[in-house]
Parts: sequence; C-alpha cells; structure tokens
Amino acid sequence: MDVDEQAKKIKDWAKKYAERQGIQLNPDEERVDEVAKGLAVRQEKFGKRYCPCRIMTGDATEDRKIICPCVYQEEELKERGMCHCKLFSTKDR
Amino acid sequence: MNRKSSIRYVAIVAALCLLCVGMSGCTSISSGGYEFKSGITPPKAVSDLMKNGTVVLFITQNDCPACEQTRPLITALQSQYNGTNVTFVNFNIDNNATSMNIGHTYGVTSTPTTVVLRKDGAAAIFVGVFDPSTVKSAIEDARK
Repeated sequence: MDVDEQAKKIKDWAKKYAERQGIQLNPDEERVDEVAKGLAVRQEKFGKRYCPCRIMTGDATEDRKIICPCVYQEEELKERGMCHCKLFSTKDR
Repeated sequence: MNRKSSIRYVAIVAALCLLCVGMSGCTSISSGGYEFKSGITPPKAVSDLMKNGTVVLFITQNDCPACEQTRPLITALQSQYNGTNVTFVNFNIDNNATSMNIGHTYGVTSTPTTVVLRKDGAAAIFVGVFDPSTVKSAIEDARK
C-alpha cells in the first residue's frame, strides 16, 4: 500500500475514532491531510502510527505513548481544544 | 519551639528552597507569557553561535506537519532581523547527532520547538506553532 492510500485509511480511522470520543477532526482539512500523511509515513517506516510531531526515543515502552491517539491528546484537548499535532479538536472549534 | 528547634527549622526550610531552585533552574517570567529559563548549558554548536549575539533555534524533524506549518512564521521573523546580530538556525533532529543533542539539551519531546537564547544562555522555549508576536517579544528581550 502506498503512503497516500495509507493516509486515506488513517484519515477514515481518525474520523471514526473522533466520532466515538465525542470530538472531531480539525475542521482545517488540509491540516488533517498533512497529519494523516505524516502518520502514514511513520507507519510505513516504523510499523505503528507514531505521532509525526513527537520525537521517538527508540524505547518501545516510551514510544507506545505517542502512537496516535497518543496518551497526551485527551489533556491537550481539554486544555487547548486541539491535540499538539492538530489532528483532533473539540467540537466547539 | 525553643531556639535550637527554631534554627533547625529555618535551616531545613532554607535547604529545601535551595534544593527546589537547583532542581528547577532559575526562571524569569515576562509579562508576555514566556519565561527565560537559566541553568541550561548550551552545547558547543550553540554556544559558538551565541558569540555573535541572540540565537533562535528552530528544532524540527522529518515528516512533521506542524514544522512545515511553522516554517513560514520563522522565515518571516528571520527576514525582520536580516542584518542584525540575531541568528536563526534550523536543527533537524533526524539529520545528525549534533541536532539530536541540541534537542535533548532543551528537553525537546515534540516538534517544532523554537528556542530563543539570551547572551547568558537562558532559554525561552516555544513548543508547537507559535504566536509570532510573542516570539518577537522574547527576541527583543533577549537582545537587551
């Protein structure tokens, strides 16, 4: 599967995930496409959807925390209404 | 509480205060929503740049959408400081060990991270897509 195809699959997954969580994808679709592509590239390179905006440490346990949806996104959504990578946002954005 | 106990109490409180300062580094908080944190020793690659004046580090990595979104902001700021003693440098942590070490020094866990460095090495750190006017204020503070 090429990166663009993978990115489309990730975007579909993210949309469903957001719906289940009562949040939404960032209304800026261009931004969502960029993040989905970044996630697809990392999935291709490293086998998992590691957040493209966070630094991988090489430690599997640590890096598990930054597999999208990362462990930080819930708090970031509460605090800023968006996750760091700006893939997910609260519904009021 | 007798005199001896009082002295012991004051000594313990003072020691705890010193320990806290030592662990957290000293910070000077501006009214602009950023702070310059001291106590970080810049790596040689950075201290060499600091000889010329204020330094702005733009720390990125490959495949980082937020980095690409922020790049035009840093380019615009850079153009405002052309011909001054403010040096802008992009370190891509995926490129080499030096960049990785710089990221590690400034506690970078996500990108982009922008670091404004004062002459004394104190650092104002901005994580993610920044507000250009805030970063500009930090640069102006750093130049004083």
